[in-house]
Amino acid sequence: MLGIALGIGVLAVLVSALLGPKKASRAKLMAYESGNDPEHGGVGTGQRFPVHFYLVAMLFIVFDIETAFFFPLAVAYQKLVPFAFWEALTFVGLLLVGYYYILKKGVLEWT
Amino acid sequence: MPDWLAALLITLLKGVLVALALLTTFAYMTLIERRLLARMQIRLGPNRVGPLGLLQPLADAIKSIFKEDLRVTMADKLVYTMAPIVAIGMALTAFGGIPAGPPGSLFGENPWVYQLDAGILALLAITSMGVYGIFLGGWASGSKYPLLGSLRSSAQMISYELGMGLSILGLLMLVGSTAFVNIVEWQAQNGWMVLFQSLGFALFLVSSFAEVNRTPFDLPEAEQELVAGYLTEYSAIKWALFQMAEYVNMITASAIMATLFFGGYRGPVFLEGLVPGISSWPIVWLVLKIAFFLFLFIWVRGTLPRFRYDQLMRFGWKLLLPLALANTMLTAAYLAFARGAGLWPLALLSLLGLLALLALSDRVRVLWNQPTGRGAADDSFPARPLGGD
Amino acid sequence: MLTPPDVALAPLLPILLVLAGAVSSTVLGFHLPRRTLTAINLVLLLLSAAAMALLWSGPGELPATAFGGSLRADNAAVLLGLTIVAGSMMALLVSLDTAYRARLSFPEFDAMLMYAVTGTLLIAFSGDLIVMLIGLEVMSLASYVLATLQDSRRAEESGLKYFLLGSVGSAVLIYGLALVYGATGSLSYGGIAAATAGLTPGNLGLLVGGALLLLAGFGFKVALAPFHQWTPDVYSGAPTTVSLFLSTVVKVAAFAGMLRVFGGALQNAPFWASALQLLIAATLIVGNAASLFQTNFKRMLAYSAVAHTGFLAMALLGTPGLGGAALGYYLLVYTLMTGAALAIVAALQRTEAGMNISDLRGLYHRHPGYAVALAACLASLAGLPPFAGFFGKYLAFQAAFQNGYVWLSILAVLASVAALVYYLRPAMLLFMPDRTPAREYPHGQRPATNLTVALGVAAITVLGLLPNLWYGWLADPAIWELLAGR
Repeated sequence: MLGIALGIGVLAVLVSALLGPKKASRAKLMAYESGNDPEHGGVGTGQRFPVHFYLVAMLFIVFDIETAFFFPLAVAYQKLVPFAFWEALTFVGLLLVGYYYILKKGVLEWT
Repeated sequence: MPDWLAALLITLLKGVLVALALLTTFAYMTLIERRLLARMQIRLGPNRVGPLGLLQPLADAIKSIFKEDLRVTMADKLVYTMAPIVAIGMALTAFGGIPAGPPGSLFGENPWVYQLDAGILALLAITSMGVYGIFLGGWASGSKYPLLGSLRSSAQMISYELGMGLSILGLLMLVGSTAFVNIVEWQAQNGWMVLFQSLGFALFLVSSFAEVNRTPFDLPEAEQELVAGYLTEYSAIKWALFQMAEYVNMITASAIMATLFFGGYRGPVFLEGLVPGISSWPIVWLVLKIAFFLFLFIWVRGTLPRFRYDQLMRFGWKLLLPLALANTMLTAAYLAFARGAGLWPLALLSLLGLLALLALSDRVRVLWNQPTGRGAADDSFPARPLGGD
Repeated sequence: MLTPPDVALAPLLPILLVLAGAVSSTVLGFHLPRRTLTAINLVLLLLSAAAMALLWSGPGELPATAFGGSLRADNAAVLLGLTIVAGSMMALLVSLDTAYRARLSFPEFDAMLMYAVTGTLLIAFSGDLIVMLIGLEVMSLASYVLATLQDSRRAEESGLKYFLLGSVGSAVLIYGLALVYGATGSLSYGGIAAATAGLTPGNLGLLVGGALLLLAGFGFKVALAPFHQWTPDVYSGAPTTVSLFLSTVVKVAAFAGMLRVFGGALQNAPFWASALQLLIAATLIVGNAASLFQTNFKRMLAYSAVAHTGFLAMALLGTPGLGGAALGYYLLVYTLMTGAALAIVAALQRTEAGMNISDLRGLYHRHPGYAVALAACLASLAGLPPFAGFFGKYLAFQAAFQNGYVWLSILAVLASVAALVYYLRPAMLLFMPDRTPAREYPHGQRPATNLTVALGVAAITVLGLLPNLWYGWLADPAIWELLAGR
């Protein structure tokens, strides 16, 4: 399935590259910046962005791993009741501690 | 022909069929969406190409393919080309795992392309790979608006993925399996999951809208602020591939919702009295349910305005995430201590939770409308302590 | 039905109490001043120590375990845990006085410190490699943050170095762990010890490779040469309170892990002892030689910590009964004397860079109490007889010597003679007459630091005169021979 799916994508790009016209000009190939000449462009060093996105990414990793840990517990849950409930409660409780911390630190605020 | 070759060929055939079906659906979705939106806004919509505009998608496709394929000078060549392929690849792959009928019901074959025990977990993993397409596309364009758009978009998608993953935990606890077939069969026995997990479904629905970047969460395309977000530097077929990925993701999300919460490929049992065996017809029921959700997507687009970005992030982190956890713990507590009472009290509890949320919506809105916390936290920073140096 | 694991709360209690402190600091930090949090944490540490003392199992009693033996509250764990708590309390007490000046007065400091202590206790209480690894990671991650917490270039540099090299060390350690698991098919110390008793030659190579990788990983954590490169930079770059914590508690915990793994699980495995012997020789030479040339007192203490790693690790070469007891005694003494010395540095330094050795000249005439205490600590670090450091070194040398490591013992004796030079030079400077203006930080009341220093110096003196106060608890060889469980 993955092969087919990627294949369709590659095929589409190839066909279009073969069939489409190629009349590029400097203005056409310029990065869009509301009609001005682009400044500080280019992949890599020129691209700066708010550090807040990093924080969100890191929080995502933490909480996503937590979700991933929760999946096996959820699947086996009914076979481990009631022990699993206390287990889950402890887990969620510790998670909420971290959640409260980031909430109070204002990491979830966007200005 | 050896068995493995036959199996391989059949799988390949099913894969191609699914992919083609998805692409056709995508093509006509664009038309249907434009027509429906036009109707909601009391105008006509595309009706010139062919009867009722039915050939419009074909014309669009031809245009996309024959259009000049630009690549801006500052872009990173390889990644810029790869990004749309990754996006569409992941979107198409995801759908293959969803069963369209009971095992062996499609001319003796299984009506799915691949089946993993991890089921929904694997599907979430594959769909989340779609973020790469968007982020890499924006980054590799080497331009400012795409970068900002892709950052916003990826931050949004990863934030709502949490709510999405957590909101189905209650469901998994009830079923005790992540495989789609087991989930569907469980619903055939006990009733649709949306009854028992109405709160969970509401959260999942909202997260799905955000995951596929649809209104009111279509921030990446907030054209007033970001031109066209990560799509700014894309044109021709690459742009079309991104659009395709978005719509295919929408179809997949509809299929997941139908499978997890609305009985999947099984039809309603009371129709069995009219036509025996009707509830286990393959494909039909799933397609009907998908169609309903696709209509919902369009309907919402015609109705709701867009979020502001800070509201969006607060909504995801401050409302969805805690609520999903609460829903999980509610289900967990119920299953641990009141399982003997059957499932209906849980359905009632879940519904009450949802209704309470709706009733309190004016209070809850403050959570994501207004910034809180930061100012207060700074003020309470400890002053110089007594004693010590 | 699946069977839930056996969760016994008694052996978990000391760890849970410390974790409660960490969590409360995280949450209450927004509402309470930091000093209140520190007080809460000190009380919780005391309670944790009490809980550990209650876990002490007399002769013939089986130690309490939880999670099917993954967590073992045996006597070795209790003794090492008490040492850890002592070191943590010293760090917290000192931070009461100096944290504000070091720009460390956040609730996060307390939280991170307590998380690190949670990890260290997990290592001491571990019954299998996975629990040990989790403890090690919790400890390491928290201590990377601690080293970076101060908002300064020096702290950032030290934290980043610590993080990069520490994560390499962790990675190496995990590889070793995987290889040992592959060779023996068991993760619990007892299972590994049983499997290594009768090895087939086929997986001997795997086992030896795993053991050596584990040794290298632990070498990073305890700073054995040639894996010690981060130590001086981190200890001298981090704020002094943090250096105190890193050089005592974290090192004790890493040695606890080594004791569990090498003294318990891998005691029958071949070859690691010879490699360890070489590492120790290198550590002794490098640590002591480098200390000789330092001009900054804090940096000298950092190198002395490296040198002491060598002395401490010698105890691992002894037979389990003798070596374990020697290590247990030496670790407590090392914690007390290093902690007290760094506490004095923290109190007197003008900046977090510490002070130059020459600045110590004439300290006796300005701060007689601190000068005498510092002299006692230095004498103990040098291993001079009335103080406990002498007995610790003696026990470690004896353990290695009796197990046949003669040339290493001789090298260690020579190294400690060289150590006399760099320890006693500042000690002599303390009492020399001096007319130049004072170079210490002049202000402030420091009751908590004074208490720490007084207790530390009193303890090393008393333990030096009456070593059996502590050694009596350790001396039973059965404690250390059952490290891996039955």
